Amino acid sequence: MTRLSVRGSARRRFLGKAALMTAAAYAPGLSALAHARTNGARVVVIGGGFAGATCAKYLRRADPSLQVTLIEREQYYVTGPFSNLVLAGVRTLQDLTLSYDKLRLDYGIDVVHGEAVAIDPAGQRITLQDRRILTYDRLVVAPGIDVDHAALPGYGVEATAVMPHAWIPGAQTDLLRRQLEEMKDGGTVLLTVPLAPFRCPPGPFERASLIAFYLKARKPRSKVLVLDANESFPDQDLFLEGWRALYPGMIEWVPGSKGGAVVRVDVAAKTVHTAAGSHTADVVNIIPPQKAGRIAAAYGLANTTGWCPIDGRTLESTLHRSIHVIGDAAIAGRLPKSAAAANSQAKVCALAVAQLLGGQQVGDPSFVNACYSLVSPTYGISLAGVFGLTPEGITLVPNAFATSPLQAPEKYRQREAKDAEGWYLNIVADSFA
Amino acid sequence: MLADTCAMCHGTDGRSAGVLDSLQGKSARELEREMLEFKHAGKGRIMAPIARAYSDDQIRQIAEYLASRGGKK
Repeated sequence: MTRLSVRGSARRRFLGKAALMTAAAYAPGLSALAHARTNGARVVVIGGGFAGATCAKYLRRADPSLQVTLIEREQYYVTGPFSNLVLAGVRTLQDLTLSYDKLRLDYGIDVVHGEAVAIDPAGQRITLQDRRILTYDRLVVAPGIDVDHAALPGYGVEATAVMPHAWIPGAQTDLLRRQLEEMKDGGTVLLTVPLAPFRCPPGPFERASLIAFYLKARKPRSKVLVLDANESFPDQDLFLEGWRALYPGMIEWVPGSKGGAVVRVDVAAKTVHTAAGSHTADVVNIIPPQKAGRIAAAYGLANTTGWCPIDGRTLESTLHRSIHVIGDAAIAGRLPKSAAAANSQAKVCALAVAQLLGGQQVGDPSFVNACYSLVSPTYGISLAGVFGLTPEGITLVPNAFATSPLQAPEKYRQREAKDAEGWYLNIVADSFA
Repeated sequence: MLADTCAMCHGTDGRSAGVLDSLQGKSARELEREMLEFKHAGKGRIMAPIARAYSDDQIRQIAEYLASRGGKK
């Protein structure tokens, strides 16, 4: 108890009064399933994407006495989901931009915009770049992804100004959209897909679809070439069926064994090299190899794969017990790197943290992944699965996975496109508001 | 915890903002019956595989929890 009160005074010193006042003003939404007695323990969450934001919110729901701090570099968050619609010209980045106000005001989360520059797991302390020090009883790290520039010869930070990845939405998305607008009719858009795992496995194929949607309306003689390092992709038959119906002859997909694996890019020549030859295109969108967000490696949370191994029950790092890693950065068994999986992991993690702090046993986790992809703005497809923990790690519950049916009527696809919009509104609200 | 997974698509505590069904204001019995239809009759679009993951008993508990959250913030 002495330890906690020392931390309490440290917190007042570093965070000032405002944080304590918002915490006190918060009217809690109690979760009937978790009433851990944590006596105002302190949890710090680093990273305010879907995983981190959801975790901060659900920590406060699990136990309103917890003091939760969310550290996030940016003032605003731009969602990956629906960012392909910006490329199609039917949404703007502004539409997809979220603030942290509701987490701050409605949930009493202390949102600190800054960067963690050092972490001391033994002393349970974090140093921010402005030298503020935050102490914690439990730490959750949700750093998302970083582009692994070294993994693709010829690609690098400067290359992104010519061959945008647009895989972390923002200025890169605008750049790719501009390039599509400036391209002549009859041009070729080249999109490359790295070896799995990467963020949002169906995302490249939704992107190819929505780029084709734009081109079909404005530049109908153009083509989309997808060079994929892998042999298959999620919802593959549904995408191929949709492409045949909506964009006949416009999208070509090349798997890894047929020359889809990119080995090198030549930025100046706008050329991409594979084992089977090279391709030059008018617009080149490199979806690059990825790894866990920078801070994961800096804190020793990532292994040689570049991703973070975790315990499937508590989502604690297996390299640093007492630090939890969630979201795209984590190696979470069969769960894909999706906003939905991040949201689901965050809730499991929040409950586990509350239970661990309260000296309770952590129960069996259950995860849901539900992802929609748009083949066009009015043609949606989906996949969903429920995952549990087995001796093999996080795996699918038997029979609990399905995709949309093939050969469904147009009306069904329209409904799923509407469902996708409903999904987007609710997952954003569930995570950030 | 099981019921919180619904929130991703149906909103926190089942308060839906969009076209997806709001779970607020439904009785436990109603929620349970719908989930069992998804599970056993394969009804619904995305819900069938999700409902199949849970035992009938878990479905009843989820329904009771969600109904208890109805109308609350």
